Amino acid sequence: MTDIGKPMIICEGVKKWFGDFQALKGVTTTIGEREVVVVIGPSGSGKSTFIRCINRLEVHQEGRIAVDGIELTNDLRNIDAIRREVGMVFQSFNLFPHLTVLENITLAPIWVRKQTRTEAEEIGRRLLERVGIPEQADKYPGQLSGGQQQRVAIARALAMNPKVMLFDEPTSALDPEMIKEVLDVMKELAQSGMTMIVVTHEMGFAREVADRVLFFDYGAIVEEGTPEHFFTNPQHDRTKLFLSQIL
Amino acid sequence: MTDQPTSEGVVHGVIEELELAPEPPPHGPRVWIRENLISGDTRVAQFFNGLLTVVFALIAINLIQFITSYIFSPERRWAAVTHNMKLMMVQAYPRADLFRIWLSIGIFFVLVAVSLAAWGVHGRMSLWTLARGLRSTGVFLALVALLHGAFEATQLISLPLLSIDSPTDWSGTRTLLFVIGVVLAVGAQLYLNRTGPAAKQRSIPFLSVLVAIMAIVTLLIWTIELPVPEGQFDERLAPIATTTTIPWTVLFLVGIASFFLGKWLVRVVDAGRLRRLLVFLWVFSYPVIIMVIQRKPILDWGDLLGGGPTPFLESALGLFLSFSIVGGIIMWWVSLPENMQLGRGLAIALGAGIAVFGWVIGEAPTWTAVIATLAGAALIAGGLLIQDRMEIARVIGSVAAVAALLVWFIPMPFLLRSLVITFALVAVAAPSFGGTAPARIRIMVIWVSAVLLVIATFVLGKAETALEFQSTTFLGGFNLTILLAITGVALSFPLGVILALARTSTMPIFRLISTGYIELVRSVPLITWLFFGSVMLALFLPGGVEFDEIVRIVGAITIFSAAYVAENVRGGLQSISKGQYEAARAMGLTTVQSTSLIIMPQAIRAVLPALVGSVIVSFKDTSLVAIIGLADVLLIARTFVPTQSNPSFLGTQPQMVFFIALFYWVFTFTFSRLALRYEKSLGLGER
Repeated sequence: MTDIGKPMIICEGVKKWFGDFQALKGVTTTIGEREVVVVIGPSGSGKSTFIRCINRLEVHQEGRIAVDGIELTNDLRNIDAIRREVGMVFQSFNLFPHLTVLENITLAPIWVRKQTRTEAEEIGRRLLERVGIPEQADKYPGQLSGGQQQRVAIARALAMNPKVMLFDEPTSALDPEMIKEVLDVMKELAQSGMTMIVVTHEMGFAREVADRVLFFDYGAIVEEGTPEHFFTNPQHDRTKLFLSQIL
Repeated sequence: MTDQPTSEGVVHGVIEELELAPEPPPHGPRVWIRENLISGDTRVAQFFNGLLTVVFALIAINLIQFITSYIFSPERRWAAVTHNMKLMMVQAYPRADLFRIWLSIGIFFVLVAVSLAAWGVHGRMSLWTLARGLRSTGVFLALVALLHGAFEATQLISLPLLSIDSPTDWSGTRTLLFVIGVVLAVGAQLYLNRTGPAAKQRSIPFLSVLVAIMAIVTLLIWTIELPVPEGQFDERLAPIATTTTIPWTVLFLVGIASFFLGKWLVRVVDAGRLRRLLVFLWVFSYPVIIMVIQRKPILDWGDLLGGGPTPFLESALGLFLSFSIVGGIIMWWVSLPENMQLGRGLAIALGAGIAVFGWVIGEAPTWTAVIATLAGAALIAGGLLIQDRMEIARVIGSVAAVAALLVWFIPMPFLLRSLVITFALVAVAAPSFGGTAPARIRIMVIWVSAVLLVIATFVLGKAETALEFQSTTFLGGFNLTILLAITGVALSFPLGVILALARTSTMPIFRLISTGYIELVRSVPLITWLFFGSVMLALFLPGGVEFDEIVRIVGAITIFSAAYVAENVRGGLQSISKGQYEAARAMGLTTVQSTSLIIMPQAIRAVLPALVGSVIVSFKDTSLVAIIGLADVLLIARTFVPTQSNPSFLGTQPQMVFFIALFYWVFTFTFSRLALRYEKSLGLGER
């Protein structure tokens, strides 16, 4: 277990509706610095909506979210500030197909962090080395395999030097052979002390890396706990049913 | 790698060696005929397909024969084309000043050649493709020479009688064509037979093919004898080939020399810097060619440098210096606003300035003053509430936008108005693209160039021309067509992109305005817009503002094609997945940044074929300006030459129109092939 520092993300009673459908029914949790939280649950349970609220890709209607002491309000300055500190990795990679791998990675550092191009490229190449594909820097995303694309997406998020990384089902669109290479990168990231929230169906990853597991259903946290507690001794009937179906 | 049977299965092992694909069975002529001419699974289908092949081959041969009979008929007076080439290209442009036209083409050649080198255009063409192309060309040429029957061109439907002897004086040309065609076809076929599939691997640079074609054309200009009109022959009206041999040859050599100059420059200077310089030169070459080189303006130095009746601040130099320096300071600061207090002060000062400005202008309607006061008050409030640098940038952006709107309601010289709008546009973009020192320097360069461009356009547009010609404008013929096409496309693209963004905006007012514009403009024919620009626009402009007719027509064409560009781009915007927007937002890019760096490049790539189509349409639609009396190349060819020029050319309208059709085709076809190559180099549809 990593040693968990001061609170990094605070959520209090977060509620979110899509039209009449209530996607989040009051989510309250605190995620500490360097903590790795894995969010699991059936589809439509609100787990993706929850992490998308944290960097304001979805707007929550009630409750409070604060990231690194910055309140997430309608104030554009706070939203910009939070997005600079929170990196995100998507299920469908969302790399920019018209830019090379290196340009994908250096884009935000150059235009948002205002780094010089040489500086950004140096950092970009180092990050590509870290995710294990330094030789792909000048290729286009369409020329890479799914696993490589997702690793580029991770490097792209890391290039902004974020304090928190959000992963929205990062391995769901990948062939089984490529899942491991992405999970390895994420494990290495977790060990380096990054604060991470990971929505995933990879129970092995949850068991091995997570400090805490949140189980979502019907827009709320049904049960939470350490991986041991969660996988060996789940309390709630819904959790037991879910685990029995996927394990 | 032996199979190892186990109790549950068999291990086959991995095969790492690659086997060569089996050679395809040899394709004899019989196989080719069966697969291409009489394909089909059953006898009936083969019979039917064979019949179709024969029928359509007859139709195709008849068409070629019709065209060749028309071209080579003894009644054709092609001298009407060759002798009036100057008229068709530049209309009434004075002969003594023709070097200005050559100079313009020369600048274009040099820029193209250096750019080809700077961007490293190096596509290669396989010899196999080249040989097959030459073979087809040869067969076609031979067919063209052979198929000319002793028929009148009116006999479109006739059995294909192959007749080599013809009663015309064209037989020499046709024999030459036939020999060239046969030599090409046989030579290419022999090469293909000798090398076989290996020719696919060998290739030559695409550019050398281009140079070879240009060299052949240059050689032809020197050797070909052009038809001479009947009757007296005026030396001054010599066929174009005899007067253009030297300029074209010089241009050809200059082009090649420039390419190697470019290659050398790429090695000496940094490629990125050279490319930026070239972009700058491309943008500036165009107004310089039109306004300075071709127009030969008479400049009023008092207007230009101040002194005399014009105060220095209102002279071109004064305006340039004041806008460059004052605007430049603001840009510099906006692109890296570190000092919050300064920004606050600036916003308050600007707000106060605008509010006072509204009241100071006496003649202005009162509501102008009210708007100005409200805007100023809003800015002062904004200045007092400013919290950080991003907000200052936003405030300055809105000040600029408000100022750009206000200038339409406040009487002031049009030049000032344009400068304020330019300032607004650059100032809005500056905070998003500023930041590092190089980025800020880039913004300063863009700003100063924009000021220079605007002022130069106005000064040169106002200046009288020193050319002597008997026409309303120095532009005519193909020169006018090119100007209308390039300007129309260059202006309608940004306008169309803005309209497309507005139409997909979340703000209802933008959607409403843009949708209204597009639907209104598209529902009215271009000719109506041209009439509008020609006769009615003056009624809608503020008093004292007058434009040259050419400018008004360019405006009408721009307004029209922008609507089509907008709809194409909107189609591209719809093809961008939501994930791209989300990824850009999650990285903290601003809306301006994600639109211009992520969304728009992809949207435009997606609809590039459609945009190429609309460029071609704009190019051809310029011929409609004939209706309002401008002499474009088509009007000259179909009316001026057959009715008003030399009597020996009377009644040559059909062949002039035939020639013009071919002329347009050569340009649009070249453009569409180049666009296709560009699309391929972008890897459209692959990544």
